[in-house]
Amino acid sequence: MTDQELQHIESYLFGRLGQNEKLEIESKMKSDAEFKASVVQMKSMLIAIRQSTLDEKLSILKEEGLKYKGTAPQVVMIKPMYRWIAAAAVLLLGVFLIRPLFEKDATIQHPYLAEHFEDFVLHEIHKGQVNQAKNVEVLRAYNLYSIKEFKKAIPMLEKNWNMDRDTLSLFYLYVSAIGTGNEKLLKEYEKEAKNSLSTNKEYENRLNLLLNK
Amino acid sequence: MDWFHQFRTDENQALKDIYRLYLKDCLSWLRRKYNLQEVDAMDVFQQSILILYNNTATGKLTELSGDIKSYLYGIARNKAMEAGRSTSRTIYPENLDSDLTEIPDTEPEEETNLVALVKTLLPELGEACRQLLEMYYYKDLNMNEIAEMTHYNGADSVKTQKYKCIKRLQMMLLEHIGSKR
Repeated sequence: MTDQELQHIESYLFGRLGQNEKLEIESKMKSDAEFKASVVQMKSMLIAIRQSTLDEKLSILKEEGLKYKGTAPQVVMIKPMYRWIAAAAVLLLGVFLIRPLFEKDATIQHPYLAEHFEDFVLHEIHKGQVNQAKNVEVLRAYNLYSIKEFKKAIPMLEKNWNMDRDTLSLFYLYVSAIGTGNEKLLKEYEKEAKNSLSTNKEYENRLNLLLNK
Repeated sequence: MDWFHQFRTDENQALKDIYRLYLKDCLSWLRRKYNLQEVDAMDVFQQSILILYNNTATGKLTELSGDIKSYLYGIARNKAMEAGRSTSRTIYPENLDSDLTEIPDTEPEEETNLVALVKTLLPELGEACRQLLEMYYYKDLNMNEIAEMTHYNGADSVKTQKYKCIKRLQMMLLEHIGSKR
């Protein structure tokens, strides 16, 4: 695509074209699927650039909030040293033992999940969960999961859970394990998922739905 | 505190300052007046700061009729009332993409997935490109304004670079889509 074509699409998206030119573009989109895809991609890029700017500012605000634990809600639990060591050990195990398994196979095999995956993406609609995300990396893990990039998402979700006890990451991790049918990862997180996610009705209901299908 | 002056000098610092300045007071006001739980009050407060940032950065807010506190609390009041009515809304201001044309016969889900995918690619684009695209497509600055604020040698240079950056992002996106097929 040339600079001129790009500018033309931009003008269309920003509503700067006259009625005739606008209709021309819309007519071309009807007859040329590749052109339409370029327009949709361009719009998505513009929205993503805007959202990313705000994601970055939100993470600054979250960091600021953590400095004021007295007034901000506690999102990080203070744990005894031995639990940190155990968490680090689990993380290391995850990196060295579990990750290669996902590199071999990370597509959704669970039929119900394959059909209803959108119902298991919660961070876009539940602002409370997103606001609990402390940094851009956490949001990146959520976004990778939402586009089914499990190979990349799982190690990041594991890190979020093991280091920060981020329950949405654990939920996504467990759903990823069920979806990709990875027995080893399922075993690894089954107990933690049952214990930690049972306090949240929404997580619990969705997991039950998945496990009973 | 001159919000606009602070914002122009260092927007991240301005955000942190206003956050610290009104955090305790606004949270306790939201909890008392709108009966919000602490977590919900925090969500409302952070969303309000984000809207203040968005309106300032995109040039929708260029002057204040009252003080910054009244403006911020006005946003927080609306958000607190919304919080009581709805449970499913995004963290982003409603007007973030309202200026963009609705493309006919497009599934919202397709757009949402693409947006999420592009967001994972942006960090790989490089800081200089990311900032340039942010200045043009988010802050709505023109080529001359961007040239003044950066090291680029004039508007034409910015224009060329902007084209290269968006093209590179598009290529990354296409490569990614291609590799998934």
